[in-house]
Amino acid sequence: MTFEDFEAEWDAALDTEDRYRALIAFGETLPPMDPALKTPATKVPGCSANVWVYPLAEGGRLVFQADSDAAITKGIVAVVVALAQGKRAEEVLATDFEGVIGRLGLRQHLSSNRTQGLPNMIARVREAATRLAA
Amino acid sequence: MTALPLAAAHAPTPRLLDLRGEFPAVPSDWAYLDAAATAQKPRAVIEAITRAYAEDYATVHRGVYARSARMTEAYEAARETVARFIGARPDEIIFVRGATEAINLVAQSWGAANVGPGDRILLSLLEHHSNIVPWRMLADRVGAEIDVAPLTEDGRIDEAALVARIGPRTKLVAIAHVSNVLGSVADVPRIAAAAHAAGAKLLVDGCQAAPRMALDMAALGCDFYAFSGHKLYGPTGIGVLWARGHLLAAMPPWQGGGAMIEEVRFERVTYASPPLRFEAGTPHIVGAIGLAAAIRWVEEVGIAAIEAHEAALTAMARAELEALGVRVLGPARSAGILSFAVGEVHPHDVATILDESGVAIRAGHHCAQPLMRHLGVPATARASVSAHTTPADIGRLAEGVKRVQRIFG
Repeated sequence: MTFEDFEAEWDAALDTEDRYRALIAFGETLPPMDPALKTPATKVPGCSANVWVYPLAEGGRLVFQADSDAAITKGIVAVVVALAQGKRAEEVLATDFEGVIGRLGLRQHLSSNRTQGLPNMIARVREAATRLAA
Repeated sequence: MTALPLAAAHAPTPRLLDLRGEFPAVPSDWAYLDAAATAQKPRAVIEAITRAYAEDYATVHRGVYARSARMTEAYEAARETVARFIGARPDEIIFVRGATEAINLVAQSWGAANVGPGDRILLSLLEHHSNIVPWRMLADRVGAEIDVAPLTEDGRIDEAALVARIGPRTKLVAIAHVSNVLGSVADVPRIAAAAHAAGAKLLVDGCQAAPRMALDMAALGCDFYAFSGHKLYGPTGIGVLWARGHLLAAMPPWQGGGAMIEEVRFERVTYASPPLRFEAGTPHIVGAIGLAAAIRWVEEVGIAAIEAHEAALTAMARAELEALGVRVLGPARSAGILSFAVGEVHPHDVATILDESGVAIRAGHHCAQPLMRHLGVPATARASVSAHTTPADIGRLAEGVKRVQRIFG
């Protein structure tokens, strides 16, 4: 499932239950994260569920592994990562993560994550892009 | 042959309290089921705090003017109210920031003077981090050892095993009166008797008990009792340490500053008697007044009525959840607190979906990581009831859980 597929499914959802199902399903499309990469260094602070983001630079492009032990949070981190996956650093730095998430209305579904968790996930992705761009 | 009706089916339904209207921050369409984290405040408490700041405010113990004298009287009257509430003497009541500070005070003052190398401190597996970390810190500092009492199958402190672990070097037993995760209630008098028989003291973390059951220090038989005001319908930033008078009298001060001294010279300081010896600096005056208002409110409602109300709603919640196939952790009779697992769904996902259904619960390790490891889960979902909880709130919880089950099919 591409991010565009998810977006279409999200927008077509008839109710919030369907939206949650779409978000959870999108999270499940994340490739399995190597357990060895789930370290304090890759753990995203401020999330009440465990979330890990591991960035790698491959041929000038950013590739992320990410995971969470909570399904909804995993869907959210999948959205964040999808917006940056396989892109060049400059493209990632130019990406309006907040705008996309705002347009989807994701924040309303994330009360427990929105204060710190989500901004920290985005910050992790941006940091990786900044390092690659440097 | 006619079947005999079960006695339980005919047991009178306890009269439920109807106090929702007294909690301005709890709208009728919101099920606030996180009282174990912090209680919402009744109007009487909010008004007492407002009055203290808006009409009566001045410092205590120092001002040579009528307003300060009245404020001092109100502050000391708050101490008397707390003492009456728990069956103790006012001079045995120390105002602290909360239960965490109370336990740290005991660890640093009494602990440093009474626990030495090779001595042992006995805790239980279900303790809150606040009743683990101060003891770990003390043990590391003085070279003492920590022992841990196991739990029964249904998540209560295994009291027989705990008693068996009290040894000649055990200086202190420290346990939760009511588990913040499972709602299990400890038999404090039994543990106190066993601790005292071995020459050990007993500290009880009463955070979850103080809002839920009548307390009488003499009947409990413990030596130290700690609780927080904000879980007892009072303000944040105020809590209570109760300790037996003779123990307090022998304890060194733990923080130095104003109000806790008798005489100060650069060469030598003599300290005030308890309780002021342990209240350095300007105290949380309005916090104490707010706490006293909360206690008066609880006394007016009746702590026994609150206990019966919570017992009925907890039983209702347990029955509803179990009917949905939800696994409820902990003993069959728990005090106002239920931890549960909805299949394999992560508690955080459960709480997120419940939140959107207008139900506030807690999901996490509840500051009890050793207990989580024992239960074999990283986290639990926890619902906790209070005086303003209604059957409709429990209905919302059940509806929200059904929604979780539909989403995760």
